[in-house]
Amino acid sequence: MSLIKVKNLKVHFPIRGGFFNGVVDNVRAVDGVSFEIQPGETFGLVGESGSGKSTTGRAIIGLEKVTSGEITFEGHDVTSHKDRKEIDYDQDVQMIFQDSFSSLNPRKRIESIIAEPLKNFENLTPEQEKIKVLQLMKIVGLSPDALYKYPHQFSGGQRQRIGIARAVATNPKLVIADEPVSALDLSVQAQVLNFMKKIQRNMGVSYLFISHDLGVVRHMCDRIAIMNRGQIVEIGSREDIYKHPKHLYTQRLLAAIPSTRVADRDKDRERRQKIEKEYKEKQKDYYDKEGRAYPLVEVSKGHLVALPPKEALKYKDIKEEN
Amino acid sequence: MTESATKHETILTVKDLTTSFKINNKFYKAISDIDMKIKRDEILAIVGESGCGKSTLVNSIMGLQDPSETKITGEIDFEGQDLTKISEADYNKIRGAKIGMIFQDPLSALNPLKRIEDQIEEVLICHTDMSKQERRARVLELLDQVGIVDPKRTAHQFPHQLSGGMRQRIVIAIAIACKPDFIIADEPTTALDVTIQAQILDLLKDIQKENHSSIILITHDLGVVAETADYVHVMYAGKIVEKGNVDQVFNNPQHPYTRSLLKSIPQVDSESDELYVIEGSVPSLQNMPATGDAFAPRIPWILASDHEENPSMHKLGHGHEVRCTCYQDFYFKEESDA
Repeated sequence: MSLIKVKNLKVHFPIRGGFFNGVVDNVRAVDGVSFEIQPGETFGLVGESGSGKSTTGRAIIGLEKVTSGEITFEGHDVTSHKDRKEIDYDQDVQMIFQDSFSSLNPRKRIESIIAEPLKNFENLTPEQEKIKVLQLMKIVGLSPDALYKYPHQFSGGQRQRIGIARAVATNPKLVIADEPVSALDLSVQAQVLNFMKKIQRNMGVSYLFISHDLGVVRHMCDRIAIMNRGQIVEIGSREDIYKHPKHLYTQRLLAAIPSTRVADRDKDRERRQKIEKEYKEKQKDYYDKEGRAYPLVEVSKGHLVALPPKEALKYKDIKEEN
Repeated sequence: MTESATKHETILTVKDLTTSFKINNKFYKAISDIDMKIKRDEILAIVGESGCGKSTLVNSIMGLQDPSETKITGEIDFEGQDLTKISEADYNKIRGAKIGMIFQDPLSALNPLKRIEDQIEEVLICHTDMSKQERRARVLELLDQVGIVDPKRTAHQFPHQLSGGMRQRIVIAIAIACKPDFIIADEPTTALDVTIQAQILDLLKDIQKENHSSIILITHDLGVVAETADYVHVMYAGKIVEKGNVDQVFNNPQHPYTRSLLKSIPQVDSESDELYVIEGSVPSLQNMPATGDAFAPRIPWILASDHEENPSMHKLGHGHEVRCTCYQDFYFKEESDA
């Protein structure tokens, strides 16, 4: 059974205006997103700014109101807040935020920051609590003398590690990581990613890894979904996405990553401009009249692409023959 | 001027530049011993992590620091003038006209209360004696040059009505309005999406080729450097630790810092679970060691005798230079275990 199942999730924000300040239109930030995450897996959600990837993550943890759709956690419906209370959802799902500075209370010491989820969900004596906090700090490589310091006394990478320690304090089953390393330098980024992988190996936690950095996603994720305009346009394993991208938008995104292969740079540039040109010409084929992506079609096992109806037919035929 | 003559003309020479900031009445060196040259028709990238002094370096060249809080020594020779010695009024004649600057955050670089055309026109009013009609025509021409689809419409808009990529194009239009020989781009694509980043970098390259200008590109993204630059300077703790062309720096890196940095990028084909981590952290301004190799504490397995006391640049030939002799004996820690 999958750990979490998101079915046709929609998050719309109303645009108000007019005489009585009524709802004029909606911003369809997330518009029909479906995916599943297996236990112990890292699932990547990739897209450009405004694609709705963060809103999806925030809707799953309950920071954004779900307009319609269904979220199932271990077989329980957790779409509404009331349903979440019945199981330990708030304890089992935790979040790591992008900006570690604004997500840590500047007036609290590290000890109380990391202990806060423990206070909320577990009945520990002060001694037990302190031991647990020290264990958590050890997991993310912080020395015990950091216990009584304040967030501003740490570097960006250390603060992000404090955020990770807090997120895994309650032994969650799913951690939503919203751009956890995009504010960090390269060498610090490597360290934070290594800690996240180590924690996954030891605790078996699943990650929903939200990022715009395709290099980092490739390193971290088992399966990846590409989002564009509030919808998933392609979803598949790491190999599917990086070796056999089918959707035009995925190809364009992949071609745009600057590579460190100096020798190939003219070739890369040519390829990028070719795909960019193709994207401009064929873009309308890949989206319907209202600018929405077409339904996902399975092109190979576990690899789903929002192909235009004409191309989608090809794959349907193959399926029927089999 | 013939093509070959323009090709090797040096535009900017920086000699032994040191910039110090005042903290609690004491001066601390943010950058020191900077020697660099930039020639016409060349893109020079300066790479390094946050706090290594790359922005301090360009702000020193542009004279953007508060003179009461900073001390600049050394020489910055631009077209025969030493920029460290000229008056503010003379500086104003150079900034915008002869040196264009592109900032990281296009929203804060633009005035939210002025229309796009007025903002671009401002540079032309300050530095040229064009008539109003000529200026308006030039604004539209510039908007077209930076790839704005409908220049007339965009000219009348305000910055908040444009997307991030469009705003950065406007900032570029302002920087190139007076056809400067020399453009400084400080993290021009950091705030943008990858697809927009690719477009902006292509645009910068095209403009550079068209105007035969030179660009200093400041970035922390090694991929951007490999795709765009001709020459690279790697900075660490306020000093240039390695210089060379892109091929030398990426395919034959010498300094331990450059090698470690390249190793810590998540690789395409690598199946390994662990990313390479550089031990320790960048020293803060107040804790910067006065002598010795600043990178030495982060590679403690290298013997102290391999480092120089006052690391100097060593020439490796073909313009490739590296600071400190430790590169000769450097190996990665896990190589010694194996």
